[in-house]
Amino acid sequence: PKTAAALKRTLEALMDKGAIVRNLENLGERALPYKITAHSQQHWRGGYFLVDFHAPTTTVESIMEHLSRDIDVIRPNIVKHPLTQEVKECEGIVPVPLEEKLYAPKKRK
Amino acid sequence: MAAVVTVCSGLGRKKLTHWVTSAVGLTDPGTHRVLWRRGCSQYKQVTSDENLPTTMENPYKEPLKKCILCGKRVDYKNVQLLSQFISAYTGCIHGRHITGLCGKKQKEISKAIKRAQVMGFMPVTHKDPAYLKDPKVCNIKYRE
Repeated sequence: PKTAAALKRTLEALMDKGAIVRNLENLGERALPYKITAHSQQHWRGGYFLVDFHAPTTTVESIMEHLSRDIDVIRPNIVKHPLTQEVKECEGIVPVPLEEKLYAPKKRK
Repeated sequence: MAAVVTVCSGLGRKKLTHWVTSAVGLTDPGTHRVLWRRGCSQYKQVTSDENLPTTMENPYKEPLKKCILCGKRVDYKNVQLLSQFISAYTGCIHGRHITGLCGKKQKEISKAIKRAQVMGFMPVTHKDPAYLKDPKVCNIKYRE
């Protein structure tokens, strides 16, 4: 009901700014880890929603501004998509020769 | 014999290959080695080239030790994994000497923890009580 309306508003706002929404995930409603104060109101419980979208980088700031004005949104966050970053092959812990560690490099002021 | 030795040392750098071979044939087995070595410094041809030790990569090299998160993706959303690397009582992130992770993964984990704490996924000052019974990954010793 209320949350659905809020979600609709945010999605429409995103699309107006020129973002192509790919996916919307609901991470469930649960108790927040700490009390969050937002828009002169204190919240203990909240619903977590994850939106995948493509957008030009210039519109990020305008989207953040718009979301911060919305009262229903407690904490807006925009983050780079983690799946686009490849997992680099980690070869392992290279053993550092202890001789280098014996003398600390002289600090230059 | 003695006369042949003095002649060899006196002539120095000149090529005396035929002299050396003849000298080797004549001398005793005791002094044979000394004379042969003196001549060998000017002797260009090295006969046993294949049997000399060559430099190569260590064939018994063991694969490098990997940290527990090597090759796995770290996400800010799985709070359970992230809370394994923080203190249960204070919520501070454990250092590299406690977690035993390699440089990249330690940085990724700390960045993900900070992100999750800001976004409201993970508590800051303590560990989520639901994840207190996780298997211990870090080798931390609490004071009794």
